[in-house]
Amino acid sequence: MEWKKIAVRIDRAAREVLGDARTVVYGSVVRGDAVGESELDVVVVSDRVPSRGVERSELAEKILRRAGLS
Amino acid sequence: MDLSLATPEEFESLHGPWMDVYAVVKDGDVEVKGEPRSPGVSASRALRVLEGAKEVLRSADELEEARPKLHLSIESVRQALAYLHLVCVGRGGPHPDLVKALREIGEVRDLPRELEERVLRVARREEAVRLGEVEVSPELAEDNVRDARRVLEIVEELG
Repeated sequence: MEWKKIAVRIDRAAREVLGDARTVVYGSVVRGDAVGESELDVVVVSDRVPSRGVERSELAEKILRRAGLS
Repeated sequence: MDLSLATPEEFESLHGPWMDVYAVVKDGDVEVKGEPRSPGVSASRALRVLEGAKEVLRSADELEEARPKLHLSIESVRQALAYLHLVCVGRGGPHPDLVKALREIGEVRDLPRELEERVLRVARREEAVRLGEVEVSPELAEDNVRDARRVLEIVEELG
């Protein structure tokens, strides 16, 4: 799937889970110098992001599942 | 897929120096912004540093409590210290947000040399594991935890 479509799906899922959220994509894919195994780097920015790393990981997984990417 | 989460404050502190080119999703469209600069430590690692550094600080009490908790914390401590190392050497000095995190518990002007050395030890072990030179073992984890404990002590002394 093209990375922009993935980004839009994550953005939609993040807003469903967190309410107010902003989705930013960065890294080699956006710069245009990605190679075959390059990962898509995405950050969801929100006031509602929990402070604990474990909770963040669980929330990230929830967003990916809702976006149909996990 | 590497999905990170950040508060607006964390993101803003990384946004300028760490993300040269980025794309923002707005109303279902994707808009690319910025211009490429020289490569360095990736922003995803920087984000993990923030999460890891904070987790290390929070783990201080937990590490003292019980053996199971200690082992549960090993991975996060290893990750945090490995990324701290990357940030310390990757940009010629500590990441400003690491310093900021330390300043939250006290006024800090310079990171102590021992802290950097302990971080480097963990990073070297992690690199050896990554290269297949050594295997992950309880002894290696214990060594990492011993260094991590000292890092936590130093952080506490800074406060």
